[in-house]
Amino acid sequence: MTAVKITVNGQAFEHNVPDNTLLVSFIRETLGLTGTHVGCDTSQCGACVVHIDGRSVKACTMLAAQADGSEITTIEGIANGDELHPMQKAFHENHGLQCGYCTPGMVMSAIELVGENKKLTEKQIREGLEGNICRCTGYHNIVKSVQAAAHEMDI
Amino acid sequence: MRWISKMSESAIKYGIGALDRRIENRKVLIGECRHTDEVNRKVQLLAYSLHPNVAHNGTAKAALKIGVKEI
Repeated sequence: MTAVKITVNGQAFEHNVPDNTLLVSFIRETLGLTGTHVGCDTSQCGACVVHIDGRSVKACTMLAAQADGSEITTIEGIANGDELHPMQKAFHENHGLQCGYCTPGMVMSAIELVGENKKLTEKQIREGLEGNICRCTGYHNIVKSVQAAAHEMDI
Repeated sequence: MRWISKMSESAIKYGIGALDRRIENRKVLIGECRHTDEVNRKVQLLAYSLHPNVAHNGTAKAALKIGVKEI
């Protein structure tokens, strides 16, 4: 067992977990934050993306123990109360989600992408989201959503 | 794009990729949507689908190897 101290969405947690506990399992099962999804379990689909100390990470291929001492933000932690994050708002307004399974990962990846460069071209957005797979194939509106959010976040 | 101007009004409104601000979007976007993986009752029936890459007899043999007693 490993003692893990993590701050998730601003709240501090301390738990003893088996050494082989994946970060995504810790988030979903130990903390009960099921907004972070498990799609492929092999770091291909990006449904499990969370932010660790501000950087997007696929939580299915990282151990909870490796995240000890870090600050994690999940999809549940980016809205400001009832007010959606500009990226969430843009996904809603541009129909950037269909079944919604990939959406939390897409949103978290896109936030980091836009945080690095707010003047993204369509090609850069598509390349930046290569690690996130949408089985509904709704990429067109996802790209539109990211462009809209980038514009909003640039103001 | 030129082809958009040729689309009918109904296709733009209701066709593939048409804007659809569904009421359930919010739940999905804030991580409160529940998928089947989130349903964990004390007594629940689980079904597993085995899909081998070989046909027929290989299915049973492969399944038995990983502890399945009957198909």
